[in-house]
Order: sequence, then structure tokens, then C-alpha cells
Amino acid sequence: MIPFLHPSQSELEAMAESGAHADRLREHLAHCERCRRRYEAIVAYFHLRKEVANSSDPISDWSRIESVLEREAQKLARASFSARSLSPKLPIFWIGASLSCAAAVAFLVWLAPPSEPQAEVVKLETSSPLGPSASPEPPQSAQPKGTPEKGEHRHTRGRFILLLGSVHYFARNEEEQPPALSQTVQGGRIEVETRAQAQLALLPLEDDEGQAVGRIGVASQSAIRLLSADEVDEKASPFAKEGARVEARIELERGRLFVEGFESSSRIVVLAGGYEATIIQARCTIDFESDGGRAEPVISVWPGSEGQVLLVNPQGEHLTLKAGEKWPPSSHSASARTTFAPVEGAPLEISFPRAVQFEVADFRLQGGPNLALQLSPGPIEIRVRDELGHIYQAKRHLDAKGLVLEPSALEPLPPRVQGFLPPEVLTPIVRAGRPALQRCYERILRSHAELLGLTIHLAIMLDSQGTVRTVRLESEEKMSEPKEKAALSELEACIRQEALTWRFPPPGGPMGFEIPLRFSAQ
Amino acid sequence: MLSPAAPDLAIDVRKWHAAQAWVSLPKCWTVEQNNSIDPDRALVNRALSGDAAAFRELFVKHRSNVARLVARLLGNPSEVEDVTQEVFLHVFRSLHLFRGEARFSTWLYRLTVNVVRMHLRQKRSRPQLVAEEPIPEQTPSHGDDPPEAVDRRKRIQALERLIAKLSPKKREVLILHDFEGVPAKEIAQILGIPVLTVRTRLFYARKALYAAIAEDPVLCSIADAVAERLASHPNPTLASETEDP
Repeated sequence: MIPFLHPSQSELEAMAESGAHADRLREHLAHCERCRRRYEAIVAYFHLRKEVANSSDPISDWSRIESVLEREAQKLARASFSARSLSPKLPIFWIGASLSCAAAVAFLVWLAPPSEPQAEVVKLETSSPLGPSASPEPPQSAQPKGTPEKGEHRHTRGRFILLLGSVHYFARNEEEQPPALSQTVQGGRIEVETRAQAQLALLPLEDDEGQAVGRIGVASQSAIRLLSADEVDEKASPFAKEGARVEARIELERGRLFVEGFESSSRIVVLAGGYEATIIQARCTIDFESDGGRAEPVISVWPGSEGQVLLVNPQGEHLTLKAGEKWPPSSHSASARTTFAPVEGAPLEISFPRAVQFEVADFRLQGGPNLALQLSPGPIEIRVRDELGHIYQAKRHLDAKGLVLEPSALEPLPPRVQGFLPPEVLTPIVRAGRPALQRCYERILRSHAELLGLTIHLAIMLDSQGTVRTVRLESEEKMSEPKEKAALSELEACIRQEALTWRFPPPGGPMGFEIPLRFSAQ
Repeated sequence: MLSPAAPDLAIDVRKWHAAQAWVSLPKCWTVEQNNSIDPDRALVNRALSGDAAAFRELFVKHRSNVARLVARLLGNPSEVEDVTQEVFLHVFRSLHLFRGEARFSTWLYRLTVNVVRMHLRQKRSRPQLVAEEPIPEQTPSHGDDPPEAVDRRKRIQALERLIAKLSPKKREVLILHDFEGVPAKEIAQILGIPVLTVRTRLFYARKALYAAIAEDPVLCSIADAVAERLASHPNPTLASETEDP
């Protein structure tokens, strides 16, 4: 016979938590299977609560949210200012606007580097791949944190003509022309594949009745993304949410240029409408209206970024814009204009199938499978890494005539150790990328309802640097109809493109992992 | 005017009566609530007056709590960052509307709950994507991911799945009370419901959860371990727990 009445839930909880009522309930639990099961579940729940309490924070990197708040602060500050001037007689709004403005100002001040001067200047090396320093001498200032010491890139002499990665050149008649070493282009445009990186320099042409000429240069390894004029909006800003996808495009003749992602001593030079803008370590927007030779540049450097922009107008006058400032249109101060003088070098061309990285001299370039650049003659060591992480090497002497390296000239080095990243490292990155995958699904589902309910296995291969090299997709559902197959391949292409943008920490060698994705819709 | 139950504190009589009627609790509770000092109040005032350090302190102090609450209410880790960002944008835009009648943390929790509700409402009609954890092709060679950690993660995920099955009203109360450690009275303020309702929802949420735990294949292993311990040790409580079941 079971002693006592069945205990209440509260009594069992009290017993599980602190041992209360234990004497009275122990005997009951020994005899009552149902209550014992309840009690076990309660103890299990309390135990799980403790485990959950000890689990890590769901967000480890707050920088993106901080950036968004920064933009919001700017927006609020502007809105408050406008409202103040427009509605001075609305006291409630006025108070709200003032408080918002104060909050915005507080946030802006907070997000700005606390003690460092806002306008940091990087003094450019004369041996920059762009050639001898073409820009006016920037004012002296302390070197910002994280920038290389002067002379660090002294060996990266020469001028990158073209090309690394997937770069497409379209002439003025929209005809695509394969870019070649030392090729000069006039007008037209260069496109870099979505989110791809490209490192290139274009020879400047003589200004031709105000027509613009593009010239893009990178001093060392860097990540540059150039966004097209049409796509420049909130979503495309460097503070935008992940997943904003735009096609990178450099309009050489006119339009708006948006630049982000500079590193260390890299810089970019844009010539448009007779203007020459040199952007040094700054995230900024440039508006060039170079129609018919007339240009009204408006340049804004994002607060929070370092560096500066130097602008030389067609009259040779120049103005320096420091980070955190906004440049009023058509305001210039006088200075002498300097010119770009090309550096002569010996051409080096390497073509290697499946190459994803080149190491030449003391610099490293991501991309492939072709590399073409000009270097100072002398002994050089070349290393090529393929998408599976294998490394190939060659040592040659580069003379003035140049060198063309065939794949057979590169010898494989011993394979590296298999890499590994624990799920704790992989999961947050995959999670962060999921909204973009969902957007892919939503977009394609609008036109292809047959994809409702779908499971895809995503197999990802990383190289030793943590870059996604291959993305393989396999659907569990068998799609037999041509329409279904087309929809699936469209979805796969979108997912593949997104997954290729994920960045992981270096696993120490190539590695792979799988992610099952289940799509469903209500 | 002075409240009869709070000799040290001046309280607006209208608020005093309204508070009593609202929460249906003894007078002493209202006094305690009003008497409690909001540690963030000074920070909020400073932030509103343009003090950057105060704003930063508020953000840094509360961001983890907000992110955790969002994660638990949503049950979908991939959306946590977006929704947390939305919460702080709301905080940022409407901080001047904070009147100080409740603690700042209470106001922040209320705002968080509202943003999550709004997000879930918007999400209901949209297609869903469920991505599972990545499965590395190779296993770790030197204890990078010990089996205990894997088991613990599985248990936590199983619990989160069960919590996600609760009705939104129960889930909110359960998470705020059991996982965020918010007292029932404050939950009543956050959710705008009587304390009694909070307690009722908590009771039924737990009841449903206990039943689900007993049926869950992952979590019942813990219950079995408890049963074993119960057999050997007649009174297992959390207080006496020293190792994982």
C-alpha cells in the first residue's frame, strides 16, 4: 500500500531543490512508480537548467551590431538636426529629438577610437606597386595600429598590371576581352565576380577630354571589394548585414564608387573626370559626376575608419580628407599635382590549374588560376597552393626578358597534415551564414513551388587557410521533372555562392565537413 | 503625499493604488518595488545627456543578457544576432521614452520580449530553413571535443526543442523565470500580466516540460541516472549533486 497521498508538483520540486519534505516523501517515492518518474524528470530538469546556465553566450562577436548602431547614431543625429530646424515649435518632438541627438552623439563618441587621433595617416612607400608616390605628401602623423612598419613591403617592387582571380574586362562596346599582361584599356569597365577578390593595376591613360581612366592598385595582400554604382545603398555599405549581395564593378568612366576592406598599406587610386582620388586605408564613398568632362566630387569617409583620401582636381589643386570628415563638394585648396610614373619590370606569368594562392617573392596573392605581374629582375621563389592544399614550388632567376612558368615547372612539396576544426568553431560560422541560405530558398521558392520541403547535404572543403574551396550539394529528393531540376540547380548555385564566402580559422590543413539543410515552409 | 506603508518614500497616490489593483498583492510589495534602487538609472540619465561612457556601459552590461533571452525565446541560433540588433536599435531610438517607473532591466526585457514576439509573428508565414550542426569528416585526435561536451550539447539541444514546443505564453514565463532568474513580480511587469497568472503559467509550463522530459529519448537518460541514484541514495537533490548524472 502506498503511504500518503501523491505529492504535489511543488512538493517534488522543493524536494529536488533543497531536500524539503524528503522524510515524508521518500517512502512514497519508493512505492509509487508514477511519482518517482515525475520526481526523476524534475531532478533532470533542474540539472539541465544548471547546464544551460553555464553555456556560452550566443553572440561572441559584437562588432557588427556596434557598426549598425553607429550608423543609426549618425542617422538619428542627422534627423534630429533637421527636425530642429524644421519644427522649432513642437516641444514634445523637440525634446525627443534632442534626447535622441544626445544619445546619437554619445554613441558616436563611444564608437570612435577613444584616444587615438581620428585622422591617421599612412605614409606611402615610394616603392609601392603603383609606382613612385603620385599623391601629394600626406601630413605627418603617428602610424596607426596594425599598419606595417615603414619599409615592410620594400621588396614588393614592380607594378601589378593584371591579374589575379576572376576579372572580366568589357570594352566600351560591351564586348568582353580577356585581360592580358600589360594590356592597356581605355574606357569600358572591369568586373570582379561577386564577393571575389581581385588584385590589379591598370595603366593610366592620358586624360582624353575629361574622360575618366581607372587605375586600381594594391600594395600587398589585401581584400578589396568594389561595389557598383547602382548597388550602392544602405545594404551595400560596409556596415550592412551579411548577405547583401552585389556584383563588384568598377565603373571607369563615371558613377559612384564604393570602396571597403582595405588593409595595412594598400591604397586605391581612382581617376575620373580629370580628378584623381587616392584612398588610403579609408572606407569611403566617392561620388563622381564626370559627365561631359565636368565633375563634382563628393567624398565621405566613414567615421570609425582610419586613413584619408587625397583628391587632386583637374587644375592640379589638392585637398586631403581625413577619416571622419565629410568633404563638401567643389572645395579645393591649392597644391602641386604629381604624376604617376610607371615602373618598368620584368613580366612573370604563371598558369596553374586549380591554383588558389600564389606566393612570389615576399608577398602572397589569393586567387587563381593565373597570375601575371611585373617584378624587379632577380632571383625569385614561387609557391603555388591548389584548392586541396597541396603546395608546388619553383625557384628561378627573373631576367629582364621575363618568365613564363608552365605547370610542369612547379614541383610538388610533401603533403601537409590533414586539418581539423571542432564543431564549436564551425557551427557559429555556419549559423551566421544561414540567413543568406534562407534568402536563397525564399527567393527561388517564389517562382518554384515544387521545392517546398527539401533536404540538401552541403559538403564543404576548406583549405589550410580556412577558405572554402569546394562546395558540393546533394539533394535527398529525386527531382525528375526538368523544371524541378532547373529550380534545384538554381538553388544549389545560390547556396554554393553563399557558402563560398564563409571564412573559417585556419584548420592547419585541408579538411571537410557536411551540413544537412532541411528546407520547409508553412 | 506619503504612502502609509512607505514612511521613507514619497509615492504618487494614483500610482500607488493603481499598482495595488494591478498586481493584487499586499501593500508591502509595492513599497519594496518602489523602494528598490535601479542601478542603471544613473547610467540612463547620463546616456541621455550625451555621456558616451554611460551608453557604452549600458550596452556592454546588458547585451549578453539580451542575447541570451533572445536566443532562448527564439530557439533558433541563426536569428539571434539579427533580433538582438533589432532590440538595441529599439533601445537606442526610444531610450528617451524610458520613464523610470520600472527598473531599466525590466524595461529592456519587456522591449526584448516584444521585439521577439514581433519577429516570430513576421516569421510565421515565411519558409523555414533548418540547418543541423556541421559534421566534420574526421574526428579529433587529441580531445578537442570531449564526449562529455558533446553529450551536454545534445542534452541542451533536446531541452531547447522541448521548450520550443510549449505555447509562447508559457515559454516566455518559463524562460524568464527559470533561465533568466527574473522574479515572478518582475515578469508580471515585463509581460503586463498579474503575478498570479505568471505563477500559473510557470506551473503548467513546468508540468508539460516534466512530462516531455520523461518521454524524451535523450533526456530520459538523465532521469534514469537519477533513478539509479535514487535506488542507491534515497534522497538525491540538486544540493547534493556533485557530478553529472
